[in-house]
Amino acid sequence: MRIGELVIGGVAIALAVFVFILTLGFPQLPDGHPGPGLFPQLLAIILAIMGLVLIGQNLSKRDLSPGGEEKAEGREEWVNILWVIGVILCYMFISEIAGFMITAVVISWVLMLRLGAARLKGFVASMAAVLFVYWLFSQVLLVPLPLGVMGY
Amino acid sequence: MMYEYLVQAISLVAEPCTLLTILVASIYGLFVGAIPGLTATMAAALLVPFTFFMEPLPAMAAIVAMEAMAIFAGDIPATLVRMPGTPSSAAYTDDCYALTKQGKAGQVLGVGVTCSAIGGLLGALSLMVAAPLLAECAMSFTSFEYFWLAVLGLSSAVVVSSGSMVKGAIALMLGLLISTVGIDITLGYPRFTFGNVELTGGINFIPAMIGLFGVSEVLRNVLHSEELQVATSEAPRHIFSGIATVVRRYKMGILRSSIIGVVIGILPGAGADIAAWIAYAVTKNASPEADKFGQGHIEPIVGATSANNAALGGAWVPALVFGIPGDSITAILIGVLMMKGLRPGPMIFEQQPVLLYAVYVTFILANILLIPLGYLAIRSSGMLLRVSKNYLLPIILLFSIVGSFAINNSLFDVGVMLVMGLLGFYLEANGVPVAPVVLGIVLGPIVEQNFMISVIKTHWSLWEFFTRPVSAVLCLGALLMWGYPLFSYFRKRKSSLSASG
Repeated sequence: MRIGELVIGGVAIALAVFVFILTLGFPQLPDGHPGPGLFPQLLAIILAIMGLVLIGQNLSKRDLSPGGEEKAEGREEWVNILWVIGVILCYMFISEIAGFMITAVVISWVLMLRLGAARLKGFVASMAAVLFVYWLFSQVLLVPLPLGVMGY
Repeated sequence: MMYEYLVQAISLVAEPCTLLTILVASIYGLFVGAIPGLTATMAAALLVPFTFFMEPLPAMAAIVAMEAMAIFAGDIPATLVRMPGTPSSAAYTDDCYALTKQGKAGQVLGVGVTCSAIGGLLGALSLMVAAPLLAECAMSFTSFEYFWLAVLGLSSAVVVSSGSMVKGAIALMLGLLISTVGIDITLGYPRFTFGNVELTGGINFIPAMIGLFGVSEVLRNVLHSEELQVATSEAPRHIFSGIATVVRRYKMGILRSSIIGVVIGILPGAGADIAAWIAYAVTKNASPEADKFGQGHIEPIVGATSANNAALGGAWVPALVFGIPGDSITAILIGVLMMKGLRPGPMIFEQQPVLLYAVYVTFILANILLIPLGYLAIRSSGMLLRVSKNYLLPIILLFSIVGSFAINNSLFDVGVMLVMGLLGFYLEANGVPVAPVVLGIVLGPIVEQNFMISVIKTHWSLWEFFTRPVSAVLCLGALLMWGYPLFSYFRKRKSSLSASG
């Protein structure tokens, strides 16, 4: 029995029920036939059935091996995941104020340090990467990257 | 006529801009493929923001060249550090590494690059022959046939996907549900947008792909940091010595594996990695030296490495003819082409034949280029394997963020990328394949649109779905595919009952 699979099964059923309820408020075609809600409703029904089957398969395996992840990761590695999520959120909320350059250098440097890179080497690498990305997207592809209050 | 198209196609590919794109994409493919943990699909997802700004031909050429190189480059770390660079090299990693310990790393990689190029060329040849023939048949298809074809493609993605079929089906349903977000095609009703203007156009495909394949791989890599143990400190030597003998000895094996690769590639949901595993198994069954497999034998490497590169050409057949992707990379490609207003299908064989010939020419050119560029990559493999992930992963993340932002200049898309990245990471960590999610996102609108068009056309008479000849055959195919899991379940149950009783 794997907890992760049970969660996936449970979330699939919950999502299916949620989608199905939402589709009940969708309009029908003028001739009275089902319209925008039909396809999501069919998908929700199949998703719920598959979620039930996955849970059923896992519960029937209860007496077998405990399963679970093959590799046991340490707490530090899981904290790395939070750091990755954190730097993306940081970019989303800060880049329009601090500008692309500063935000990008800070998030890539901080993440490099977190993953074990040397301080100076990490700074140089993140500066070089950001300048390259800036040149490629801003100068070549003409993407207006966030300027921030300082204008870069 | 054909000759004229070919000449025009060659002149298109020979344009400096296209050639430069091919070269840069090739080097990028070799680099990503040679780094364990980074896949060719991730490379394609990160390439997407650039292809979005390119003309269709350089965009397709970049993907063709990148994937051919990346699939071979996966053999380099498999041989030197016993870690496949991409999942497509996993089947024969033990054989490669065992030969390296015998001092034959150069020979293994020489065989790898040559057989990959031969397999890739045979795959390209199959694409050139099969695609126009199928396109001619597909000319008469209407919404009924396209509906069944898309259903068949989706069913195949579940049946052949790695892991359990139930998980594959859940992944597919998630992808299809994602595709329903936004304005619906029948009444223009905004579905699941929750009043958010950014969602009315649907979930943007490009940030979704970058999240599913780019961010999820960054997350996976920061979780499993593994030290590389290089078996040999010297750069591989004598790369092409004795290669002619090996190719001559196993020529039938190369041909057989390439055919397997093409067939697996054509099936939606199965790509180069599954092709390599099946070719490995078939080669083992047919070989008189099967007992040597897994312990350092060149024959399985020859077979499986030909198959994985041949599968790439195969995957382009349904993608170009029907707009139904054969693997995750062609799914990404179709998404990009559709965003650029070019819908793959039989009509492009009539309307844009030169573009198609240019794709064929690119396939051939990329596989020829594989030999010299692959050689250079093998010679510099020591340097490639020394690239530290501590520096590389944050840079990949930076490219992912900016690439997602670039399409609509929207930070909302960066959020979409993050959510899809977490989804892809969680699904894969629990053995749920991500490929069906992508297929669902790409094929969802096709299934729904063709179904709704058909039923509105026939005033909700469903009869025509089953009575049109081609429709009926495709429907039968889908039914057989749905029946297969049940059949195998009951057969397994019966055999376990008879074994216990």
